[in-house]
Amino acid sequence: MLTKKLAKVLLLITVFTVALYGCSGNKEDTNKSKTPANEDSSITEPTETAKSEPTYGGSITVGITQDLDGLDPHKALSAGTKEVLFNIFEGLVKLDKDGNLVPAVAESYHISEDGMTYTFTLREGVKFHDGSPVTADDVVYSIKRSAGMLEPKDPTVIVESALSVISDVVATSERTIEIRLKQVETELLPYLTCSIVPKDYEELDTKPIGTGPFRFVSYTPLQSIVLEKNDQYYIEGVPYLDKVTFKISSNTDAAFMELQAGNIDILPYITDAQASQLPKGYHMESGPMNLIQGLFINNKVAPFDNKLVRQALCYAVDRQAVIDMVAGGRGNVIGTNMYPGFKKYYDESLVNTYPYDPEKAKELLKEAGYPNGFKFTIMVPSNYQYHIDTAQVIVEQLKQVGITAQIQLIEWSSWKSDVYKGRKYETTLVGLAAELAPRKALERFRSDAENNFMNYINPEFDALYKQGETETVEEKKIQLYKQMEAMLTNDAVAVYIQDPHQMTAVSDKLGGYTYYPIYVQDMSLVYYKK
Amino acid sequence: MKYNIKKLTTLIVSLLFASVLTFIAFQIIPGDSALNALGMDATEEQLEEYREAMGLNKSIPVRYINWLKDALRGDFGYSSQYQMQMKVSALIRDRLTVTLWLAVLSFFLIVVISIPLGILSARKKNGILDSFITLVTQVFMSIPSFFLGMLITLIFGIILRWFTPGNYISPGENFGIFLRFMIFPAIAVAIPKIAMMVKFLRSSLLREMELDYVRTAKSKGMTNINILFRHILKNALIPVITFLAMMLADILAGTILVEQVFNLPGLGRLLVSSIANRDYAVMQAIVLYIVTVVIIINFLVDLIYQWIDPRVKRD
Repeated sequence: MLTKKLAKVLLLITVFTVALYGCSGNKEDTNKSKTPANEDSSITEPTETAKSEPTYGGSITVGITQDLDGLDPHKALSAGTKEVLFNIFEGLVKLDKDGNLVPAVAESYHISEDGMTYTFTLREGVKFHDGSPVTADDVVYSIKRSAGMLEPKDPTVIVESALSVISDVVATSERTIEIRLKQVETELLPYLTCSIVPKDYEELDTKPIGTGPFRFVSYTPLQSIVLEKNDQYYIEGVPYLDKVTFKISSNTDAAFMELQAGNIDILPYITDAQASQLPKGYHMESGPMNLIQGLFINNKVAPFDNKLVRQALCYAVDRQAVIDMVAGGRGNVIGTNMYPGFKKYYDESLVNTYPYDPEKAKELLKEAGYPNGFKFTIMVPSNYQYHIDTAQVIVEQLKQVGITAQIQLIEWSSWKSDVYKGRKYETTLVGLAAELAPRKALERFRSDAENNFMNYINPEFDALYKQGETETVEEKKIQLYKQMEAMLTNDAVAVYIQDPHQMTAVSDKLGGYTYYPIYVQDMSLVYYKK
Repeated sequence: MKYNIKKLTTLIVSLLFASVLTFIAFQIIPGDSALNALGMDATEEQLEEYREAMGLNKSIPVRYINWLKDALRGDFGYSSQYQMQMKVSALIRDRLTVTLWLAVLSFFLIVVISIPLGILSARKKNGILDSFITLVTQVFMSIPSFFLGMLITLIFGIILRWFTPGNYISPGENFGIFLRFMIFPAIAVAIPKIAMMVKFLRSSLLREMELDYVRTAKSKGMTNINILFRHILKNALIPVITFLAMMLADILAGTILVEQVFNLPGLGRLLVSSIANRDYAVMQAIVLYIVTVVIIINFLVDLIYQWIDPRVKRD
């Protein structure tokens, strides 16, 4: 019996040694065969890669790790779908890489004096992918559909709540449309990026037609979506590539394996560990995600209903250390609830409100009546390894001040219904993804907001918010927004941690990969280098 | 005939029971499919409207009966993770091709490899070859197939480059490449099962070899090989068939992990993403499929039994 066991162990060891030997042996091989040109290409920062000249043609494969939840742009919900459909569809206006709104299907627009009417002039010669010209009727139809104004209503269309201020959309001539509002709304424009689709077109679900730089070719669930160049695109010289395939993998590990095998040219959202294991021929590009990552607190439950306790948490977390440990230093510390991408509105000075100071944290705890600390749980969605890692570092840091935090993993779907909607939690560590307009970041803190999952109630804040909603002078608006941000920080609504950087593996042959302040994989700017 | 009718009734009742059970189970798990479909920031009003339109606000028995009525006609509704734009039946049919191919390939490998090895091992009982086979099967039996899948991908995919990991191509596109890819996940699925099968067949054969009729046959002057193939194998095969059938059911239903590892767009991956998205229609249909497969295979095994061994019927 014993000899049998021993033999088993020996055999196992042999099997593994063979497997491991296989690995190392091969590495040597590739080292020998590599050319001097890509010798130091494993990790470079994006600035160096944008130099060489673009060429036209070629096809690439982009790895995505989530299946599309639909091809109809007004029905798709997930960010992962929208970032692909960005290549097929466009709105009246379009976001550029700096977060500015540039005219797209519209050539120009005009806002009336009282701010109640928006008039758009359509660009001449814009065609849908089937060759038919874009008419004012198509635009009216698309905006109404996205705003949920069409009758009969389709319950599967995701109504864009920001468009609910629209009272009517009319085509005033063949090339102009007028959007009339119920009340003044200064942040409507970003939402007019909503996709323009052909009027009464029935097959958006299966054969989507838009005006974007790429046209739809085919889609197979759980496998891939294939796009090809739109030759009639109204911007000269764009896109460069003839064909783009988005390949759907079951998870990041599987996708990364494909990248190692050379099947994938671009793989967004790689992890820190993957970034350090990039195979030859790939480099890493990174840019801010515009995500508000934080330890969000239920302000209603004890002991967190006490402001001092929340502030103590803020002092007890060393945010830079978190970034260093979790992401190898790639991330920016944030101090309040505003997407850092909206530079004008984001108050960077609030980062310094709570420097890392465990002594101060202990003092505050004593003052609040918890000299020996307390226990609480952090809910973390189990599918976000990044947030789990962050929570683990924070748990360790909190131990220093005597607070015992426990991580409880929760399945994403349950997180949405129990934590976000049900507000049944103490604290939760997640990221709030960027929206199109800055006000979205503040909206949830209104006392009566349905998505106020932190249970923040402050009449002063409500008053400021109301003022901000109708303020048309930009300077004043910025000031109001910053006041609100400061209020959130001083009340320590949450422990704001960082805006993480996203990392993308890009083949060395490609250039032009561009980051946007929202989730977008813009393939129209990507090209093969000469 | 009576025996068959009895078996058939059991089959239908078990199917019905299983469908009730899965239906209820998916109602109990937390998560809200309306919230998943419309997004976290959907208003209560929009959620209600959606539930109304999809019939989600009716009571569980009413929904079950509605679902059953449609299901009997082969209509499993629309998939909510694809925003109600895709028919569940079409979605499953396409994924099923992948899973079926995987199952057929690995089952083929199991039968073709394990039966000769098992016979060989039993014939050369306690010889060097037998000890070696026993040792190897011991090892492979204890390695789960998803881990084998990872090893295979690493060794044959990344290092030796015999296939490109994740590069699944549908059989309609290029059958050769498809087969060359599918053989690796099939091997990953098959190896632990082959190991079990060899061990099982060996002990089953050895048990038969010790019985009196073998000695009688031998004393009558039959050769060992003759005895083995004409008498022992037939008797030893009954438990083996049960075992094989269980395996087939296991493969048809349980390639979920291997599909994840090899990035195959099969039923397992669909099931995982459906659960994550609370896509009740798809989950129910897949679970029902799995249950049906297991029950029907059991039914077929019963039929095969009485064909091989008519005594079963009389009991």
